[in-house]
Amino acid sequence: MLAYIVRRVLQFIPVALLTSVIIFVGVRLAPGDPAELLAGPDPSPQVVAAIREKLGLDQSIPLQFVLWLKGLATGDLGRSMVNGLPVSELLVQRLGATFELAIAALILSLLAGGALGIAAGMRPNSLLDRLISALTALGLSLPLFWTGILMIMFFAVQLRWFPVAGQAPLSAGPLAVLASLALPATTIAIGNAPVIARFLRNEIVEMRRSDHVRTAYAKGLPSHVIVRDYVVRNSLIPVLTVAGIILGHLIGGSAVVEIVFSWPGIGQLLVTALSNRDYSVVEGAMIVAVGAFLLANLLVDIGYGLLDPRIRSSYDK
Amino acid sequence: MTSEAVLSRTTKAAASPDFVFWAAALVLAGLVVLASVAPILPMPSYSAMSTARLASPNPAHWFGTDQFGRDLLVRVLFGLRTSLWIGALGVTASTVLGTAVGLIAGYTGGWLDTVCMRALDSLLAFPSLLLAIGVAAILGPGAVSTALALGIVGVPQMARIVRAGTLSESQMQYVEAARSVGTKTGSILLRHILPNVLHLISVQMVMFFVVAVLTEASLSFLGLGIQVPVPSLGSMLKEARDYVGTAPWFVVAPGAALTLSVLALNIFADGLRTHAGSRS
Amino acid sequence: MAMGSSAWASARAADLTLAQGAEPISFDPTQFATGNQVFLHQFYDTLTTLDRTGVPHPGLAQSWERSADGLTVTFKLRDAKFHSGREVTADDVVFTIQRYQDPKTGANLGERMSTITGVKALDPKTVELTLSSPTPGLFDLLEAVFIQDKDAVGNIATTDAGSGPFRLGDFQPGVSFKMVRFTDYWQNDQTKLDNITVRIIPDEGAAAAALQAGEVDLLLQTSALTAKNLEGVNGIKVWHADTAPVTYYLMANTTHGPLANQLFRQAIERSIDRQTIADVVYSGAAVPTCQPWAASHWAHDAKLETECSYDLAAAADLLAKSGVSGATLTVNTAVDSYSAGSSATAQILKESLAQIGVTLNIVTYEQAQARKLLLASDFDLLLHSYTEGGNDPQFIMPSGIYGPKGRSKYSDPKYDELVAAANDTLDVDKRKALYSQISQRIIENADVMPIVDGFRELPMKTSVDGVVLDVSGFPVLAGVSVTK
Repeated sequence: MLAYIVRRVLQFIPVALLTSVIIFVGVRLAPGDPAELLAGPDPSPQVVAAIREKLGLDQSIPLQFVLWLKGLATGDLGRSMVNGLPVSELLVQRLGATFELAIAALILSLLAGGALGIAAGMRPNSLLDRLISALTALGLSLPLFWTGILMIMFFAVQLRWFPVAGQAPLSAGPLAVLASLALPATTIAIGNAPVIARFLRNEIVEMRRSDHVRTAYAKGLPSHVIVRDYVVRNSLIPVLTVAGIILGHLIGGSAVVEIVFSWPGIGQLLVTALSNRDYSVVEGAMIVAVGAFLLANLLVDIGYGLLDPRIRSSYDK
Repeated sequence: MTSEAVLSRTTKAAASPDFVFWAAALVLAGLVVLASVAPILPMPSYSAMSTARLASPNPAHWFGTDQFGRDLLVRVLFGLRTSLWIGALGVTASTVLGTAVGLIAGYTGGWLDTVCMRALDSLLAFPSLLLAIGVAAILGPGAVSTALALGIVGVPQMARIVRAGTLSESQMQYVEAARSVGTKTGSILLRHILPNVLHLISVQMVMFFVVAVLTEASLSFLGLGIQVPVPSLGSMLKEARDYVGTAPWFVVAPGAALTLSVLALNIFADGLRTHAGSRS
Repeated sequence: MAMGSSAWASARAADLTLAQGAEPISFDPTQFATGNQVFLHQFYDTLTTLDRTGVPHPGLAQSWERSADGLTVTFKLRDAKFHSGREVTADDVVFTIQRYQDPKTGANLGERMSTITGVKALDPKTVELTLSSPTPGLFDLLEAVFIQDKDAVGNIATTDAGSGPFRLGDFQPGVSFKMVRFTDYWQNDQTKLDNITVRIIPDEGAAAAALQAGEVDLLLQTSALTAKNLEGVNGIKVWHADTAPVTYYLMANTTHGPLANQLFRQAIERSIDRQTIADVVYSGAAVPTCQPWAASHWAHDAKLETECSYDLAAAADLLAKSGVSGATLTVNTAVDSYSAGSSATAQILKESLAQIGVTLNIVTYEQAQARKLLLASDFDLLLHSYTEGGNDPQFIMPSGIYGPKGRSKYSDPKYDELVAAANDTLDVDKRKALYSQISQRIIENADVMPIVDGFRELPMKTSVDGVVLDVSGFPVLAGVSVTK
């Protein structure tokens, strides 16, 4: 068992390292650099060179990478090349905002997805099941940014029930915070609730076919007891692991929704920083986004390994 | 990774009745036909401007006009054409590259396989849109770069699937037999193994097509990707954002077209997966 | 003084909240980035300020004298304090000017500062500037030289180093910051506001909604479309600036193919449908122009407008005379956050040029690549913009655009002569005549073709008054009042 965990963690390390190299080199391959953008309207080459030197960009890329790794080890992610602020501070702030949005979206997805999934799973192949299947297909097909714009069009501009965009600060009170979360979280939930609904439905269908549930039915236990004690309880952990994977994915994957709703999160920071060629911020933000995803996967892997010994051996490739 | 197995079960839909599957296939075929014949249809050019700006749907312009007075029906059709075409290019690129990597890694094994797997794992760790944005930034704007970016995004998943299939096929007797007779590796891969993993590839192609279409739309929405004045459903939605209060049809039309295509693709993919699953 | 301002405060609200799209790049006044402009005149002070007619008034400099040959100007400083408590001295002025001339920090004023060849502190309150030419635009230039506390510049990422009417209060990077009244300001009794809160709202729709909801009082940057949509909304007015317009232009690289042919370029000039571009791309809020100065400026010559009007017949004629046929060109545009409206303008231009048989391909780059190509003159045609910073024509024309160092790579010795002559005299009538000739040559050369002038529009609550933009477009907020 320990061997499995150690093996998994060891596999994680080269992947993490390779990912950092890809990020580091990749962002420098994009044409243009922050020095050109900072140099004012009519810069001479000397001005650009001076700025480049100030930012440490005149050194060789491997050297820059080593210096960055060194900083990473001590928790120093450097400073934004555009505004000089410490990257770690920026990331903490932005991560908080993305986390807030992701948790809210996840809760909505679990509630809606859970209800739909259970309803479909308890009556497989019925009309209800088919309808829910169609609904989930639609939810998975709606482009996130379109859903977001439509939400804004109806609920913010026309009905004025919610603010058009932006994250309300905690100081504005719980009602304002919830109001600003409503539209963006719902937009994300529309795309993720189907995932949970389908997974849960399949889990439940299989569970109901399993021996001890059939036995329970044969024993004459009432349906709702079966649902509560057998079906739901046994599906809980798998659903939570799916939720964990979704959460890991949402940290980096909410960029478009954050942009549409002006939500000051990690994804929006990344896209803006890339556009500004703010290398240090791009590196830091990417590490966070990718790291969240890798970590979530690692934990799920270990969790499943703990739960199911068969998986440990079959996935050891 | 286990999470893969977990997630691949999540999106399996209830087995839809055949008529839904065939309806989706029909819609898809219809969209493809429309998109293909768009240039020869008797309609105004998609870049022809007029003074009837932001007109709501009327007999002269069934979907209304945009801010330059260009007919929106034409632009939506060409936008669809762009989405499907670029999506197809991206899928082709990722399929060719991914299959190659998967076959070689799965068959050869050893350190080559391990290195490939780690590399693919790292690429998979990136959220697909962010990876596409990064590659698009490196390659610059334009249709070809966008298709390449999509291709790169799709390689890891295709490679893993092909590799998994190759691994199991490699242990089959017929492969053993071919090897003992002295058949060259390339021949084994292409003539023996590839045909037997084709069903896996085709399902993944369709599934990635969905991702490719949505990613291209997102890239164009962000201002990267397809160049104006060629319409793209994503860039049309970007423009439409400025007119949310004044021209709602401008927001609805391109988005509805995009959703319809993706929905048809998703249902089609679900059906394919069910049939492919029942085969193995 | 403090009692006076609180009596004032009870009659009117003394707090202002405004929104802008970009956050400040530190609080360094040598950076004129969009996010920085909001604090320049608030945290910092200048030697002199210009009024609406272009006459300089005392700022940190109480008085000044020009030598007979016009090449030396001596300033006497008044008693004033930095926010750190220290007195403003001539050494700080020398430090500031040198900082603006240092390529590492002063890139924004760049070329213009080259006219100052020497700066000396004669005594703690006297500064002497030596110029290389009479520099008629000197006071335009000085209004953008923000005097910095040489001891405080080290911390400029998180504190301000100024002596202006406000100092930095609360600061939440990426979210908001506060500008708080500096009670020891030498003109504190003229400051009407106690607190200015600057909120960073990158998305225009969100900012517009915040204004309508009453969460902010003023929007510092909006697109023409957003401003137009806010026009007429209850409780909101749109204030139109009349200084520092943004000039949107088309530039031709005269070393690329048919663009070396002047008649061909003139054909392109006559194909630019400026009015449609102003109406569609800039929502009617921009004014067509083909001269570097706005129609309201004294250097503008209305008679010249007919030489560049939209006329496809004349364009076809010029094209025929040029001998160029079947040309295909590419125009570089960029995302709207960098070159607002450029890709939309390109689409209109493409349609017009198609009618005279010229094929135009459009490429829209993202910010960093667009800039890289621009700096290297790597384009056939380019659509971009510049802000007409400064009131005096000497500084209205950025040297990277017009003139021998311009990116169009065009050389016109007669033009250079005229510009040098216009910079060499302080006589307004002589200069007016010269600038008319200069405008004419610009139209004839057709290497840089101004398209429209966009004036800034600031949507704000009807209760807000007294917003001023200086000649470079930087906001001056000390005199703003908010009636409740």
